[in-house]
This record gives sequence, C-alpha cells and structure tokens, in this order.
Amino acid sequence: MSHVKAGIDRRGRAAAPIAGSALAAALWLAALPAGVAGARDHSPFPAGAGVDGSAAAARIWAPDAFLVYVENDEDVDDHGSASRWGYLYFSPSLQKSRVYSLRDGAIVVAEDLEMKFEAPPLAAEWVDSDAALAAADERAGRAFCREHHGRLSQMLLSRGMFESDDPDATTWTVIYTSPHAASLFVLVDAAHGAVRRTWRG
Amino acid sequence: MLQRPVRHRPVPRPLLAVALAALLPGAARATDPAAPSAPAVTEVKVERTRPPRERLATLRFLKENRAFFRARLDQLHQTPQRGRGEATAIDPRFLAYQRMLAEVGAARDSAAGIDQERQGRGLFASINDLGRLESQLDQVERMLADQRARLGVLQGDFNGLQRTALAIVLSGYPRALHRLDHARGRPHPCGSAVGRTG
Repeated sequence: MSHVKAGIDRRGRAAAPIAGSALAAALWLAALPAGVAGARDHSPFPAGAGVDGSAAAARIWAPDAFLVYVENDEDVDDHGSASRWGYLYFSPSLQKSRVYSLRDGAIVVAEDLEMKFEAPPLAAEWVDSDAALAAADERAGRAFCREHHGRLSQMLLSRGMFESDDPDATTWTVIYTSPHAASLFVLVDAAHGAVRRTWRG
Repeated sequence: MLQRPVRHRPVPRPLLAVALAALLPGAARATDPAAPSAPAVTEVKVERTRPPRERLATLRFLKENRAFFRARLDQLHQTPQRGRGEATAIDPRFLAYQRMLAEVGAARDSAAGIDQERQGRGLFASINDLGRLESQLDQVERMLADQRARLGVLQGDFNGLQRTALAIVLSGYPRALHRLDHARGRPHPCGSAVGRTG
C-alpha cells in the first residue's frame, strides 16, 4: 500500500512503472484461488480448550446461558483435536440458543440457532475429546476404519441425546463413516472416559 | 502594428431569430418533429463490490439431524435435584468457634483492665500490692495459655484446608407444623407471611 501511495505525484497521477507494478501485484493477489488464501494453517485443539472463550462470550450474550452441546466444525485428527469446534449455549431467560465457533482461540462464527434447543446443561466435568476418541478408537473405531475404509466423521458432546437408559449422563458420541458400510456410533461416558455402547446405523 | 477597429454591423432581426432557433434543441424539435431525439441521460451510482466473506458452517450434524434431536429433547424432563436447599446438620466445630470468640473477647477485656490498673499505679505501696501484681501476671499467663489452646484448635481444623466457607443458620417452623395448625383451625403465630407459603 505504501508503494502505491509513493507512486502518486502531486497532481494525483500515478507514475506509470510503479502503477504498473502495483496493478500487477493487485491482479496477482486477486488471481489467487480462494483455497490458497484459506489454506492458512490453523492449530488444532481439543474441545475443552475452547470452553472458556465461548463461555465468556455466552455470558455477555445472556448471563444465565449454559453449555448444552459441542460438535467439531472441522475434521478431527487422530489425537481428538480439530482446528474449529462449535459450542452451543442455551439461555432459559431468552429461550434461545446461540452457537460460537472457535478457531485459533478466536470466535469466527457467532449466530443464533434457528431451532429451539432447550437441552439440559452439560456436566461441569467431562473428559476431553482426546481421551474420548482414544477410548472409541480402542473399542471399535480403529477396527471399523481398517475393515471398511472408514474415517472419523463427528464428535458430539451432549446430555440425554443418545443414551436412553441414562439420559442424565453427559456423553461423547463418536461417529465413524464409511462409503461401503453403515456408520459406527460409539458412545463414551464423558465422566469417566469409558465406552458405554456401540451401534451401527 | 495598429489594428483596425472591428466594425459591427447590425444583424437583421429575422435572420437572428432563425439562428437562435437552430441552436436551441427544443426549438429545433418544435420546428422539425422528424429530427432524431438526443440520448436520454441516466444517472448511475457507483459502488464497490464487497469482497466475499468466508462463510463458515457450524454444527452441521446438529442442523442436518434437527428432527432427531428435537424428538429426543421432547422426551427429556428436567427435575431439580433432590436435597438441594435442604438443611443439613452444622459442623459442631463452627458452633464452638462462636464460644471461642466470646472467650477471646472476655480475655481481652481482662487484660485491658489489668493494664489500665497497672498504669494508674505509680508506686507499689506495700508488699500486698506486689502480691496482687503477681496474681495478675498469673492471670495473664493463663489467658495466654488459653489463647494458645484455641489457636491449636483452629490449626488442627484448618491446617492444609484452604477453603472459605459461609455457614448460614436458618430458623423457622417446619411446614408440617404449619399445616397441622391450619387443620386445627388455629391461627399461626408467625403471621400471614408464613401462612401464604403453606
């Protein structure tokens, strides 16, 4: 920008060589594909690392808001970390839900959830995504991926959504998908990190 | 070089009118309806196209399966936890602290009285005064020993326990007693404020 400014004479006309360079640079930047510009490396982190940041924003939105749901917004790596996680909060006073998506320690998406989602609050203590994924991989996930060329698709932290026998429990739901077989669901107890059950669907 | 002054000759009035009519477009159209009209001027507003912002999707699984989640939510019922708000027995140590504080206050008053008496006495008049002073010193030593014992109790209770606690003691009539009184038709001694809660 300073180069472009230096190439303007007192009468407001751009000197030809410098203007040409600036134009070329601008065209080069414009010609960059969006994928290259967006391919900046983002640091993956476990889900628990983003709770404080999202909770601070949620408290500003509604003082009575509490965390009800967590989901990975980008792919989860082998260590249970993702470059972006979504945190959903519910406010009883507002009767609204708001999601905060965090990346690199900053909120990159903050929006109200269109549907009503008056879910129960997550437990105050839960094992992080790395421990939950390790348990799921050990139990069935690794074998599923090997046999069916599957991959880890989703990690969801919720309460009362997937466990009918004990809806009060906060659980991780680890979902593996495969193009050739039905998906594998592994339910991990978020309090202790133990696998509760698995099913295909 | 001298220039000759330009002489302006008067233009005949009919000729001037024709010339003006030719210069004015409206006048020309009025005179010649078949002449082509000038292009209409359209005002434009120039704006810069906003660069596309990165649109990030979030909670995709939840949104794609909203019917499932909605159905599961409808089956959940949240009930307050039992036991929350119920009174529990107070640790007897907390009740003992109140007594210890009273003892500390009494000992402080005694020491202050002894000190005030000593300052008011300039000279020991007799051997009896020395005996009384010795007894006062013994009393101070006993108070110090009691204080050391109290500190030992506090140290035993809180050593290694870094915690701040607030104990709130609530007093009142049990709800069952209130209902019983109403059943017998007697007014409750606590008045209308308690009666509304029954």
